[in-house]
Amino acid sequence: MNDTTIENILFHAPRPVAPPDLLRRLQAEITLRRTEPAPQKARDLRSPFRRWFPALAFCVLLVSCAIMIAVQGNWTTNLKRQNETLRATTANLPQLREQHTAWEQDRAQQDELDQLRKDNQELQQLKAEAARLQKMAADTHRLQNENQQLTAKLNAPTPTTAPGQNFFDEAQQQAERIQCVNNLKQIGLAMRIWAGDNNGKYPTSLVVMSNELSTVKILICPSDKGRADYKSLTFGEFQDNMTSYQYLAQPDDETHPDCITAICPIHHNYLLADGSVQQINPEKIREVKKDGRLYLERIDGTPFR
Amino acid sequence: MSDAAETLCQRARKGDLSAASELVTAFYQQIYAYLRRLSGNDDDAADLTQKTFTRTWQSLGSYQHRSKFSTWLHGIAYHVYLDWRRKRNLGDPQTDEWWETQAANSPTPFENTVERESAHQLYRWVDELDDEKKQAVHLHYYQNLPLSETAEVLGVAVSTVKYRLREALTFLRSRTTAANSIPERKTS
Repeated sequence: MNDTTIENILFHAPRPVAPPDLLRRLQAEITLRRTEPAPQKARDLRSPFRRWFPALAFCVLLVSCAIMIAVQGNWTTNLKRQNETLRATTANLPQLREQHTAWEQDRAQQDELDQLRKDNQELQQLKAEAARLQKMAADTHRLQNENQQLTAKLNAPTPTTAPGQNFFDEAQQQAERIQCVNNLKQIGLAMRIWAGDNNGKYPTSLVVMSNELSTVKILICPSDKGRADYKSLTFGEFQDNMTSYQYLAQPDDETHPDCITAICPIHHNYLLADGSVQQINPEKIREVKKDGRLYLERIDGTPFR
Repeated sequence: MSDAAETLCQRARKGDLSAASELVTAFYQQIYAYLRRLSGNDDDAADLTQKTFTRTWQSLGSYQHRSKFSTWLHGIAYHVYLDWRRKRNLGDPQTDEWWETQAANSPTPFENTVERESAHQLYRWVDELDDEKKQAVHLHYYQNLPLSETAEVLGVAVSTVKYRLREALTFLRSRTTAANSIPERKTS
């Protein structure tokens, strides 16, 4: 018996017949429950989401994983690039260090140079300031002389000027100026004589030259009326502060023939170390101090002689 | 029949008793026959049929129309039988007289007496099959369900049903071969 025959027999198996009252009993036991369509509809609406929820959740998880992998891949790429950059930088590190050292040396030199420039600039400023101060000192000295001259003029008795007497006054002044020059020349001569007796050293005061000077009148300017009374004194009574002249001579002035040794503040007559007397105009000639000595110099800075 | 059954089912879900009654009329013989062959006696088959339809009406609201109504009904009957079988542990084997009675009461294509006896013997061997194969044979051959519906009722894949049927046929063929060879030896 083959399979076809067996299947044919099985397909035609006898069908048992139900008892006659079974249909009636089954129909009598029918109990139906009315189903509400609305909830079914609502369930149908929700059902697609419920059905696809696992797949959607898996898709979301998959997408999240893909994003994470992409982000991590990006991070890895960036880190690799940074690593390569750092390696390349590290390869040139000794050379960079040498360059850095050279650069620091250059910078130090540059700083030092800047500092020197600043110092030089300050030095120039200080020099300019010193020159200005020297000029101010010279001006101060000149102003002091003028002040003394004006003070002498104020102290002098005011002559009662009569009409037509100016000529005689001027002649008197001229005579006094010439007398003052003569006094200074005698003082210069006495200084040189004293120096001849003292190893070429000039005296440090006028009074010590009493032997070389004939009278104390030589030490009083004829225009210095305030000291006219001192003319009657002897050298024993006369003191250095009583003279009309400023005595500036130093022991070794003989080697500096142009330096000033005595000054008449009234007439601006200057006795120089070589024994000459110069009558100068204060507006054109000024005093200049060099190496502790006073010299005459023109206002424009050129030498006096 | 199928579309008509679906229409009746929808009406029954809305509470139409006449539709439910028509469904019972249409399917109770088929379900009874299935359960009668499995259970082994008329009373149990009638009780199981009643339980099947009772459970059908209770579950009618959850019927989703994903399968045919007859398939769904066979699924309920199958589970009702399994529950009953589990409580009872073992079904009654069909007696030879019962198969002969059924053959005598119902029309059959086997006019020859020898063929008819061979058929009865084949039905008895079917009862000797294990449960899985026997269920496949009952649903596919006896109840004339297609392979796909048989697989749906049993809750297995179609390929599994095919395998079980193939195994069953092999078993039956071997039995028939063995039965035919014994008389030959006796005669020789």
